[in-house]
Amino acid sequence: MARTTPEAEVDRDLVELARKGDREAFAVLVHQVSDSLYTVAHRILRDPGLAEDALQNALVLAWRRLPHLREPDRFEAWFHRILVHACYDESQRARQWTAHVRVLPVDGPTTPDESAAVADRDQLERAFRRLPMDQRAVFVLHHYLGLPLVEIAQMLEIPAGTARSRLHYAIRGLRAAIEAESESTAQEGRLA
Amino acid sequence: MTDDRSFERTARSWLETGPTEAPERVIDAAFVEIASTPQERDWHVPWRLPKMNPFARALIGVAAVAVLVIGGLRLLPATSGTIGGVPTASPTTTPAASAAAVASPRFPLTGTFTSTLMGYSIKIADGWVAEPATIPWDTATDNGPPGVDSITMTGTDSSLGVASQPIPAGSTYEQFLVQFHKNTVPGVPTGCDGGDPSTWKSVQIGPETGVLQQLCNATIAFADVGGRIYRFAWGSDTFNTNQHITEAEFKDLLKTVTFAPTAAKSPVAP
Repeated sequence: MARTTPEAEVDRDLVELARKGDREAFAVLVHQVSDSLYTVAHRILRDPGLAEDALQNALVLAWRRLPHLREPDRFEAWFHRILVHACYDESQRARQWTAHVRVLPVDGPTTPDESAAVADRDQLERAFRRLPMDQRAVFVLHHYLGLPLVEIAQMLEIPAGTARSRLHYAIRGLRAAIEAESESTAQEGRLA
Repeated sequence: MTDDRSFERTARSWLETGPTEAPERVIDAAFVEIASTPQERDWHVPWRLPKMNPFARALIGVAAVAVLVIGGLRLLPATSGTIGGVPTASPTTTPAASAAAVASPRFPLTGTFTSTLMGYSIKIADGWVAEPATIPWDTATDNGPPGVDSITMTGTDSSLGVASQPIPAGSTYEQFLVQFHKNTVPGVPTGCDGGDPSTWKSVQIGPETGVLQQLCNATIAFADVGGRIYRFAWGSDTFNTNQHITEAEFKDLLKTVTFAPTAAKSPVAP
């Protein structure tokens, strides 16, 4: 999949124009980065509606705050940071709602290999939804966008050690949840 | 999915599934909102100035002094001094001048902005735009939004940035000011750092007494209230002193502050 990452080149002149209030320049920039922003939001929030709201809020917020952007060359990284914070905000708003939502298992597969793969993904989905938002964000930026931790730290304006520990705890949390679930499933199988 | 490599492979594959394009209607909806949304002005205090060759810097320095002298001579009888001028050139506001500002204010402070994150309220004028902070104030890396509340003073080129945080463990208010001042020095022209914190003038902030760090195009007021450090920074987009708020106006604004340190939610930034 061709993915626009924060390292991709954007037109510095367009950024400067947009900083000075040129909405058309901003529209061009948005079309260059919106797919990446949306897909990242979707992976973090695991909900199309919340991801759409996060994207819309991030676009408006980025427009308003663009004059504060210090380094036009870091436009995409800056935009992704705004998006990640928009995701945090959306998750806060949705917390009450998601607390009552039960994730349903996906439909059953047909072959044993597919069965294992789908079961893994289903377990991942459930485990991922239990992670704190800040850990989800680092996990997605690292494993989906393929960004190094140092770059994630710069993007989110957190110490590199914090980015590292968030990724560590995310992976640990995912593995623990998956293993606990597998064990529970195995026990249920034995009891049956 | 037991070993690390298998786990990572499965995780990456799982992340790949899902939409790959942003819905156009979301972008369209955003642009409908953007069409009527003004951009925030950049009030950021320039801790770090762009590199400039010595000749250009000297030339600009001479020009700036000339502008200040000529402008000052033209405006001297009519104004009471502007926050953000060169410190030595800023006249001290007398009680009479302050009273006059209250008696006929340019900006009647009819509204109130309350920051639950930072734990304070301040009066604002009609038309001023307040943007609450959304993340903790990180004194080390950022002195602008979204880590501070930003209040754009419509009708001037000035903005107010307000933030607070608990005094870091093992530190004191005085030590914090010393460190803050150290962080300021490398990024501002010589003579624009406000001097040693022990020399900073006192200022009334609500019912409390704080101190003022006078920079060259910004002023920052600090107070220690209930174990939290509060910082009110006035900054401007330009060096056009006619567009700035005045020292009296800034001080009047500070007097309207009420503190609620126990209600503040913003922690010490990591």
